[in-house]
Formats: sequence, C-alpha cells, structure tokens
Amino acid sequence: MSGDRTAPVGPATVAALPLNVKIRNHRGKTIVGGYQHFYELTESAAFIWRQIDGVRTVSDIARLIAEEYDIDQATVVGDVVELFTELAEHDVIKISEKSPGSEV
Amino acid sequence: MTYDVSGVIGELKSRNLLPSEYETVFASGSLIRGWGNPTSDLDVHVVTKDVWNSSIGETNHVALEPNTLQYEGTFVDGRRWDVEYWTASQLDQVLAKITPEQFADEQGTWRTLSYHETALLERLPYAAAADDGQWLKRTRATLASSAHRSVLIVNSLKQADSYTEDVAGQIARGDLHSAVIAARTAFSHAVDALQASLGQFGSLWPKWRARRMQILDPELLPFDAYWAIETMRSFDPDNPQKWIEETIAVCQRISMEVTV
Repeated sequence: MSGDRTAPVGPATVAALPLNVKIRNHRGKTIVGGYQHFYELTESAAFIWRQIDGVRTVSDIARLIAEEYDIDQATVVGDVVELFTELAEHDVIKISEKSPGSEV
Repeated sequence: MTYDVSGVIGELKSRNLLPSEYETVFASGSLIRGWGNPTSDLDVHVVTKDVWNSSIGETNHVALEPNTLQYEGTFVDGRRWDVEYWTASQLDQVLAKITPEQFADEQGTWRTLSYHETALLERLPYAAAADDGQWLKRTRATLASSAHRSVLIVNSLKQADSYTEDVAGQIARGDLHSAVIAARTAFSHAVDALQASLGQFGSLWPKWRARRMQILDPELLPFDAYWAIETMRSFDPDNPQKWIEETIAVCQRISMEVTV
C-alpha cells in the first residue's frame, strides 16, 4: 500500500498505521503521534483508530461503528472521512484507495 | 522451589558482611522466583544506615546521593552470593523519584532513574525478606501508591518507540537486515511494557521474558502468539519486510491497549 497524504479520503479509502506512529493510552486518553505532531483522540476517534488494519475501508469502519452505536452509517462515513483527512495530513495514518476487485 | 533465605543474615554476620546497624536484608533474583539453576547467583540486598565500604572495591554508579553502590561477593555452600549495599537514604531517594506527582511532571525525576535504580524497582515486588519482613511490607505499600508501574511501563514503551522509529528509517533506506533487528528489539520492549502493565516486572532480565509470559498468558498477546514472534516462526528470508510489519503492528496494538 502506498500512502498519499494529499489524496482525498472517501468511502473506499483504506487507512494503515505508519511504522513509526507513536501511541499512548494514558488512563483512557488515547494520544497518537507521528514524527512531529501529537493528537489526543476522542473516545469515538479512538474506537475508529482501533479498526484501522490496512484492509478495512472507510465504509467498512463506518458500518462497524454504526452497528456498535446504533447510528446512521452515512453520518459516520462523514465523521471517519473527516478524521482520516486530518490524521493523514499529519502523517499519523497513511491512506490509499482500495483496488477494484481486491475483496478479502 | 525458591531459595531458603532464613539463614542469610547469619551467613552475612559470620563473614563480617553486615554492619552493626542495618534496616533490612532481602534477597531477589531467579532463585527467589523459583527459576534458578545450579549456577544461579543469589542477589542479596542490604539496606544500611551508613555507607558500606566494600572490601573488594566493587561499586556501581547511581543517580543518587551518594552516587555509588557498594558490593561484596562470597560463596555459601558453593553458591555465589552478590551482596549489594544501599543506604536507607538512597532507597528513599529512589522512591521519591516515582511518586505520582513526579510522574505527572514533564521534568519529573523518574526520568533520571539509573540502571541499578530501575533494577531495584523491578526486583522489590519479588524480593524475599531475610528479617521479619516489616520493611519490605512497608516499602511495597509505598510502591503500590506510587507511579511504580507507570514508570516501568513508560520506560519500556519509550524504548519500543525508539526502535520502531529506527525500523521506519531503515526500511526507507532499504536496510532490511538492520530493520529486522530493530523490530525484534522493539517487540521485546513492547512485551516488557505489556508485562509491566500486568504486574510482571523484569525488563532488565530479558532471559526470563518467556517465563513471565507463561505466567501471564495475556489476552492481548497469548503466550503462543508471543512465542511465535519471539522465535520468528513466520520469518521469510525472501520477504523480511512482511515479518517486520506484522511485528510492529503487534507493538502498536500493545501501545494502544496498555494503560499508563
């Protein structure tokens, strides 16, 4: 998978963690960092983060969250897109588009 | 079976290795944990009022006042005893470095823990008192209300982060041999952090890591999964990067789930 921090994030985007991402769970607060920047994730963002595996698309993750919290999936897609866009801009995740026909 | 420490104080006295005034004597190490073998040393710790003057001139540096530890060595029934002398003040200074207040401070003194201070903090939970045990009981109570566990977790996670960062740089440069070694090392530190979070300390003694993992068999990384990575079972010499990425993913999962 090749990451492109400037590529737009959409429902078919797949996120993966860069090798050098730093993660801390400080008494329930999740803090993630790339080479320079650190972020504190909200509880829902931390849940999303846990689903990142380099295989699941934004849509896949949104479906999991919609089921977990019993909320509208379309709304969640927007939230995941927004989060991934911000994290990718700061190299905390790397993103790529799922190739057509690459069902796992 | 653990080592019987009831005769330790008498043996030290008979060899003139115990000052007239001391606070406590305790033993630690593999023999005390029941993991010893015929060539294992017994690690004896004496907490003194005044500085002990070593007869063999062996010392080690600590970031305390005074800044050295004194040692003696002796053989009892064919087994080597390494005797380490701490002053009560040095002990107090170590414990003062790991208070919750120090841990919360960006410039906290817990960051100045030296190798031997960390070793002491990793050994105290498993030490066996050679006296009535009251000193050890009080000290463990102090540890329980301190940031002892958090300090040991963070020290290991910091090491894991450092080696993981090396992995990323080495892969970017195409130096896969070095990246494999760095990933192995990052994994070791991440496992140490996981173990510390579950109350098994011993990052300075990697040879007992598997023993600790057998005791814990943690849900986050069950023993069999740990041992498969430790022994590099899925490593493919033709595709080392795959093993590296899988191993670092495990390190990241540990960092995510271990609460500091």
